[in-house]
Amino acid sequence: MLFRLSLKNLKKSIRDYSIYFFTLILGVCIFYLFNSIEAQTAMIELSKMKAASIDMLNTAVSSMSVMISFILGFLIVYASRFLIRKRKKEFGVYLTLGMRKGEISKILLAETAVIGVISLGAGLLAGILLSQFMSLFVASMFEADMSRFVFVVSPEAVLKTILYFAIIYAVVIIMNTFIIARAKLIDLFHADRMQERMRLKNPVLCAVLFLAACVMLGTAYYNVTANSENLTSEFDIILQIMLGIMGTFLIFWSVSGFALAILKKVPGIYHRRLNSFVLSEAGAQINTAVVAGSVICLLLFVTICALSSAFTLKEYREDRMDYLAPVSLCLDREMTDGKTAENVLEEKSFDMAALEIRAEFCTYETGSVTHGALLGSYMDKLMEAGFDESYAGYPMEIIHVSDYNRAAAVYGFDPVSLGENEYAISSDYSNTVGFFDEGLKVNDTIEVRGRTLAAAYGECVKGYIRMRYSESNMGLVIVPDDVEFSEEEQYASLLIADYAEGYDTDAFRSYMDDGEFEALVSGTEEDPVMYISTRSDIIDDSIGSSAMVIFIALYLGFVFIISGAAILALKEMSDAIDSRHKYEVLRRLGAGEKEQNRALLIQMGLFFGFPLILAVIHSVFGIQVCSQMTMGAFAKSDLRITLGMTAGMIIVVYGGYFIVSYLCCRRVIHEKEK
Amino acid sequence: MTELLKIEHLVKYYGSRSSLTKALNDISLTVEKGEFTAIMGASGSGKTTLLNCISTIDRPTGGQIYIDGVCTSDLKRNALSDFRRDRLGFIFQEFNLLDTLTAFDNIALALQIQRCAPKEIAGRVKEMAGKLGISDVLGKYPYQMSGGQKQRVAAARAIITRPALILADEPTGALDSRSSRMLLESMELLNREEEATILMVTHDAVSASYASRVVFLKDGKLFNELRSGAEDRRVFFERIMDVVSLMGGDLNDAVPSLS
Repeated sequence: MLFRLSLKNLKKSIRDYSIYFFTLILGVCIFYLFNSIEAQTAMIELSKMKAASIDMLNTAVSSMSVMISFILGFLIVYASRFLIRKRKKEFGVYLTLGMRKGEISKILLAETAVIGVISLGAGLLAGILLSQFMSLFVASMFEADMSRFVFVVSPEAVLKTILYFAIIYAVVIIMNTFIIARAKLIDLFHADRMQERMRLKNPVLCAVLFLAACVMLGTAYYNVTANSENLTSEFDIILQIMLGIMGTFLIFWSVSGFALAILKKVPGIYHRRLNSFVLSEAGAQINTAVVAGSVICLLLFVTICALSSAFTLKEYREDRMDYLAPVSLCLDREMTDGKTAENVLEEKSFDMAALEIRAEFCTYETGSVTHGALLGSYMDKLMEAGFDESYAGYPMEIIHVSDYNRAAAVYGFDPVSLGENEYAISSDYSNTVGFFDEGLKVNDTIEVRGRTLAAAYGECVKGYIRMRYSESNMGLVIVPDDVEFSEEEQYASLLIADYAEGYDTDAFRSYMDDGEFEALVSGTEEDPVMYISTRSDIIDDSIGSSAMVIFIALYLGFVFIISGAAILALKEMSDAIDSRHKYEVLRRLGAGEKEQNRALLIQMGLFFGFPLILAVIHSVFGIQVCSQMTMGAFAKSDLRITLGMTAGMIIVVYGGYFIVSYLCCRRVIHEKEK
Repeated sequence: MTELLKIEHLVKYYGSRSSLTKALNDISLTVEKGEFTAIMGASGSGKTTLLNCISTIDRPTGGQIYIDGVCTSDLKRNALSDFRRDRLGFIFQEFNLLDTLTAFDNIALALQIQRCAPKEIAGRVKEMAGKLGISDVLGKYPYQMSGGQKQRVAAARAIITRPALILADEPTGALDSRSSRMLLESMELLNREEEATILMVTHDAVSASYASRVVFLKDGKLFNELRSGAEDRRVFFERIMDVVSLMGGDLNDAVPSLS
């Protein structure tokens, strides 16, 4: 009996619930999509490096999912409370008819259960269908081939989705029971008259706070971009974030009071058509959603920054491959047993015909050339800043200038020219570049094997001798060829090669990258390690890690946008129900249907648009900070494509919610009040 | 005198064939320009239905309504909105002011809907507010005003567009007696000075006594009609009360309490 009542209620209020329902299905669907990525890669051919990236992605998605489930849980609890508030009068009637509170809770429980089961079912179904397309996307992101097409369902992801959402729905049920148990009958009856109180704000105070907020945001914007060099401590950065959050909140608090006070002075705008009504309604809406609005604005901001930096990072990494991985193979081995890399290859009877050796040389270490010796008095400053004393004693790696230039020619760097008693420092790891540049300012001579050498350049030479996944040459001293070293001072043997013709195939690359070659060349535990870096492996790493970042940004971004848009849409729906009588007044005053629709559209546009506009303004600065953090200060990249993709995603999801809720609200206001 | 409102054989039925409610059963009525007419009747007598039909909010089942010579049942949807906008003014029982707008903006809204030039608005609103004695509340929001002030703001909003016909549905229903008196005096003044034609629905004999003519409605039919001659309002009130008692106990709440 009770169950039938709740089913009837649901059917009756399906329109109020439609946005809620849609959001739940979308939430379930996205949750499944991202948690089933691993299963989707089953039919994709992956190198070991890419497989490792996918493993990492999977772990990251799993841990993100905990956070995501909190966000979705919060959204669902918020939305269901919102819907209960709409129905307090109905519950009041039940109570006066002699129904017990426990029974009302049971009705709600049944409703939540029905909604939960249907949304889980529909969401999972949609998720499983979409995941088939998602696997194409995964394949393209990881630049891998689909070997075959198989219809994949991930039972783990299905179970996980059911488990997480079951917990969320259980929390909703507990919250509902709590609300009903606490409610007083009199309040239930007056619930529809207790509209959110119109709090009138002093326009002068609003103006002052609005300007203060602008100053706060302006300061934060300036500090994180133009003035970013002066942000040294973590506290400084947190301070800027706090300024941004405070500024956003204050803007939301004051904007409608401030803007209305100004617009009222312009009768040409304010007293034209329904503008006064539209602006006051939108203002009141923003005023009653200050916290929600600020949070949504910040969520959108984070989403825009995360998405655009993820896409930019991918592009930037792709562009960097020419610098990081210009040749097929670089082998590197410490020479503690006196064997060079080539010696080892021959010893293990590796097919040397596969390689076209481009350069082969040794590097050295000697006691007099340490970090401390190079940095001079700047080392003392570093130690004051908390550097360990032992850093000063670490020896620097040394290379003969002709060897360096040979490597530079292969890798494509500028060669170095040294006079008779000169040296140079090569580094491309940004921290150490900074140290050595400072060191060169205070000290430009070193002692090597009894000779005093002076610095040939005032700063570090950019370059490296070992191919790595990222810039990681932490310092290399280049000395003239006639500085001779003893055999004990030999440090590492390097071999730089391209694959010979006929060997540059998928199969051979897989042999080199996926473990077989490593197994071949590695000796016993006492032997020094042979470090292998290949172009294909570095590229796979870059593809894998940028794909991982993109997936996580997409996952977070989708959930953030959906949560924000759903809260706005629900508020619009409930406001529309509350303001039906206002449109009735407009109708009696003779405003036509078109005019009313226009008023509703503008008012909703303002309410939806304002958080987005502020978020976009934040992002103009935020994106600069993000690109600095991910790519270093001087990286320039074309933002147009990435911004286009980000904007597209936001327009589709956020705009979709806007249009759906506009259509729902439009239907609501044209209904006669019962 | 010209006929402003002419109702011919107006019929309004509710419900299905099996349970038919004849809310209005063949009503014919004519209102002259500049008349202040009250329609009295018990609840269920059809007075609100009559007002809704006249105001084009509800469509009659049969019969014709002419306002200013225009037959309202011939009008299409958009033309209806325009007709309401240009010819009719409304005063409701629950004031129906928009709570996010000040008194000034509420009154101005009626002009804005008429697409009145923005620079004219301030002058017209202030002038009307002066007449109704609400100049000092123009900057206030509805929740800051008393019931009487709200109702006079609503009246100002109804009148400012100079409609051909002002329709008031129980305008004093939610007011105390003092506020009621002030509102009714304002309406009387508007009727006299602005020659506004007012049609007021009420079940309160005191309110009705401010009108120049009272029409009694019972069970969807015209029951009686009174015109105040040159006599004092008190005398007119007595005559109204006579009819009320004649109509039977239905209109009990029309009798003011003995205070």
